[in-house]
Formats: sequence, C-alpha cells, structure tokens
Amino acid sequence: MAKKILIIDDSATIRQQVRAALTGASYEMVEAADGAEGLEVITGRDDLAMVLCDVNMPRMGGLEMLELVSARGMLAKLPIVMLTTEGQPALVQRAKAAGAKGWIVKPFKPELLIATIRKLAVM
Amino acid sequence: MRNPDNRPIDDLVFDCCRELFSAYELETQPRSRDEFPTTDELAVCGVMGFGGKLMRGALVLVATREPLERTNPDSLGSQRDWVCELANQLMGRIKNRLLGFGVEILLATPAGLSGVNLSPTQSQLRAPQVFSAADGFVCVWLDYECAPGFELREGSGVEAAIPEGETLLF
Repeated sequence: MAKKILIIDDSATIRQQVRAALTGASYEMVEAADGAEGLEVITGRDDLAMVLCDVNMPRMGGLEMLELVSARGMLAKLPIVMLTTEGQPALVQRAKAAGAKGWIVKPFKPELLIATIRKLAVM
Repeated sequence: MRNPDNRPIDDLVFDCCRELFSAYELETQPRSRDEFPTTDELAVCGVMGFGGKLMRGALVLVATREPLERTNPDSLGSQRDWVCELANQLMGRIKNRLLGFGVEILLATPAGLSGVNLSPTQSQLRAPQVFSAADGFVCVWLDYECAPGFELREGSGVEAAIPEGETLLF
C-alpha cells in the first residue's frame, strides 16, 4: 500500500505540484488548505507517513499548527517538514524547537522533495 | 512612516524578480516603464501585504497570460492562484534579502486582484519594474513607507536567511 503524505498549503497550485511529484514516486497524497484543516486531518487519522506544511496560511499558520501537534505528543510518530517561502533563521529555530524534522525553502525541486520524503517518511 | 527615495530597495526588488522567474526557467528582460502593457492585456495581480518596525507596505505582481502559463506547474490550474503564489515567493525572497540589511518584516497571505485600469502610479519614488517574458510582460512594484531615519545599510543584518531551494534536515 502506498504511503500517505499530507500536504498543507493554501495554494492549490503548490498542492498540485506536490501531488505530481508524489504520484510519480508512488506516494499517495492527502491535502489540507490551512493549518486548522491540517490539524483536523492529523488528529483524525493514523495512517499518515509524513506531513509537508507551509508557514504563512489563513486561519492557522503552519508553525502554530506544528506547536499544537507537538503539544499533543504526536510528533514522535509523524515527521513534519516545513515547505515555505520563509527563510528567516528565527522561524527555522522555532520550528526546530517545536519538533519539525526539516525546512525547505520554495521553490522546491521535485527530486529533492522526494529524497527528503524517502528519508523521513514512517510506516 | 515616510516615503523614501530608496533606490537600493528598487534594485533588490529587480534582482529578486529576475531570480524568481529564472528559478522557473523563464528569462526576463528589463523594459522601459513606457512599455507597460495596456491594462486590458493584464491577467491578474498577486498582492502581498507586509509590515515591520522599519517598513510596511505591499508588493504587487502583475503579469500577462504568457509568463503565467509558461511558469505554472499546474498547466490546468488557476492563474489567479499561481500569480498569488508567485507574489508570495517573490515577497519571501525580498524578505530574506532585507534580513541581510537588518530589516525584519512579517508577511500577510497573498490575495488575488483582477479588474480593468489597474496600474501603478507613475511615482518617481517607487518605480514599477517592467520585464518582458515569454512574449508577455511582468510588472512588479513595492509600495511602502519607512520609519523616520531609515536607510538600507548593507552588513547591518542579523543572521543570513536560508537560501531559496535549500533543504535543511534537523
């Protein structure tokens, strides 16, 4: 069975770009359009192998979501990598402190994204 | 806040815009402001607001259909969504460069804007940057105010930002 990767991004184009990369590498994609929706998906299912998450999104940002997931003790079994236009060291440190496994600055190269997923995805 | 004559920021926006489209394998050539296309040729704008102690304002990215179609990774997707994402990525680059000058800003989420007669004011202070690209045009301008006494000084920055395209694993 294909591993399931959750992508959380408010841009439908980015979600589609990730979908194209994942499908080509035999992963299945689950999607959410903001942090609040992503949090619902994460807490509602136990079959996710990894999460890719944007930072600046409406309703709830990616770092806020990451910190909520961390506070619920869910990061031990679920690696989260931030995928964002932000490159500010203070934000990277905040993500690292909350338990994120990585940080990718857009635009991303599909082959590097897949290499990261192969390295980190669980199950 | 005031409106400065701050050419270094115009140069920074110019460089970031060319780098962004280059990352999507689209060459852009600087053009005269007079060549800015008539507004009925324009597709949509992506607008990104930002704010901080030293600067606040908005970035506007406008493009005709061709450069958007050439760069959009989702060939069937929404051009409005894509121009918003491009504005987001462009503003991310500008933010990362500003960090090198000690200027920290917070970014809003992008918004799309469509309509007729959308064009920048012909201000000498915040000149729109016009490029030709893929048989079409891209135009970007940063409309901003700065804190009194603000000057962009190289080397006064905090820690350097993570470059675009980089992956860090913890």
